Amino acid sequence: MGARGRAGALLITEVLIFLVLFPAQPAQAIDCSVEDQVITQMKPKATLGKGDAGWLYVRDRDLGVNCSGSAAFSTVNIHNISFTRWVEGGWVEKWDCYTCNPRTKKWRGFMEGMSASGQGFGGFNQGWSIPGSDVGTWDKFRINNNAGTTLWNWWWAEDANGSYSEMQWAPGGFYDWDFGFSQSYVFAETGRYPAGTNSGTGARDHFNNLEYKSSGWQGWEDNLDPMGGNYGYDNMDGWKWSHVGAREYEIVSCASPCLATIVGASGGQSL
Amino acid sequence: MLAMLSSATPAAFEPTRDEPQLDWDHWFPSATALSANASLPTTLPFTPVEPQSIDATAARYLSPNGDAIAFIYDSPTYGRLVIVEALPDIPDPTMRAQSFSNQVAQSKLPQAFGSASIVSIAGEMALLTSSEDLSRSMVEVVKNGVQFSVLGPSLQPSVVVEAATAALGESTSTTPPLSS
Repeated sequence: MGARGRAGALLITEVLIFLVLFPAQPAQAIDCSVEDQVITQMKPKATLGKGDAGWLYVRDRDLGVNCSGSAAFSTVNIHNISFTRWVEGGWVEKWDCYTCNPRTKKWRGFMEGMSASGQGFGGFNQGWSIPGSDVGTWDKFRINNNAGTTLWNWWWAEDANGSYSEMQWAPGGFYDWDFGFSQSYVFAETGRYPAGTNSGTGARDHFNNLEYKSSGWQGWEDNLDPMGGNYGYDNMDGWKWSHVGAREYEIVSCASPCLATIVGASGGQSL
Repeated sequence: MLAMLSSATPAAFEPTRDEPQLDWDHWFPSATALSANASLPTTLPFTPVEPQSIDATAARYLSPNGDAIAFIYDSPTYGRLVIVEALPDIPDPTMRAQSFSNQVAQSKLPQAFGSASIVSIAGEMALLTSSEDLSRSMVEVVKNGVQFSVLGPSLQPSVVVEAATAALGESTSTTPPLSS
């Protein structure tokens, strides 16, 4: 095969690889889809577990070709005192335009509220484009209660120190939703692929600075124990929260069983 | 919690409408079990009330911060029944009534699932919510400064209203038609 032939074959091969990687993407967008996830949830500090809102920093990263290494989503959620209602904001990374130069990516945010009866609401926001080169910076998400009301909404700030944008998470111009409570326990949550299928640690399971405001709307306070004493309360054997430093945590695998560092779901001691 | 579907195609995830991780045996995460024979705790920030007229003995659990109590029954009449008592999520009655009305209106919007309606339990305005298929329901009502949440893993709307009415000790319930 001559040089032109080899070049032609190489081009065809590249096209085929591209079509395999991106079979149907009219907008050149790629969702970092996930499946068969386990979920672990960061327990709040027992003494400071109530708040009006939760801030959570998540780190931007390179999503790789076709989201290789993408492992999880993340959320911040707030339960009421009775644990009968909760409101939750979350996100999943996606390539906004992988074939563009420069590439862009997005946080695909959602907000949902549920009651223990199974009644609730939910909706997605496609978010804003972020340069694909934006790696290693911390973005910031906030689920918020409008002070003095039972209305909730959802905010996002690029690169932590930027300006905050309210996410319109539902069609029809909906930003706020009445969910019948205004403050309680603040959690962070992440999902993971089962071990062996995709164990890459991504931005979504790398948390920093989960904070809350007390009922009086004083300044932001740490929700997580800076000494690393908080662990997930969902019992997901094989994964545990790891204290990275300061107020930074990530979820890492551990040899099963590794329940010693994960507080069981419930049914603790008797009085 | 986010429900994840197949990853075969893009956009293969959506906000949850599936079963959240509810612990119907203990209710609270990291719950503390209380003796069935002991007096109700005096450390709660409200005066707890032993639910009435439920044909079973309750297992009792305290929330992690000790600010709520759950009574869990296996009732011949209602099956698994959970009654949670706490300070009201919305202390002001006027604001609570407005929020109940807002939630009923929201339940009819396209982003919502399940149903919500306002009912009367023990002479108090209560919010009745149900799953999309009406197989699971909850009543929330405030009486004498305590919020009662009455629910179960398999309770239809009319049954949870009956259970809440029995638990709160009066039979003044009227049940308007459910919203859809």
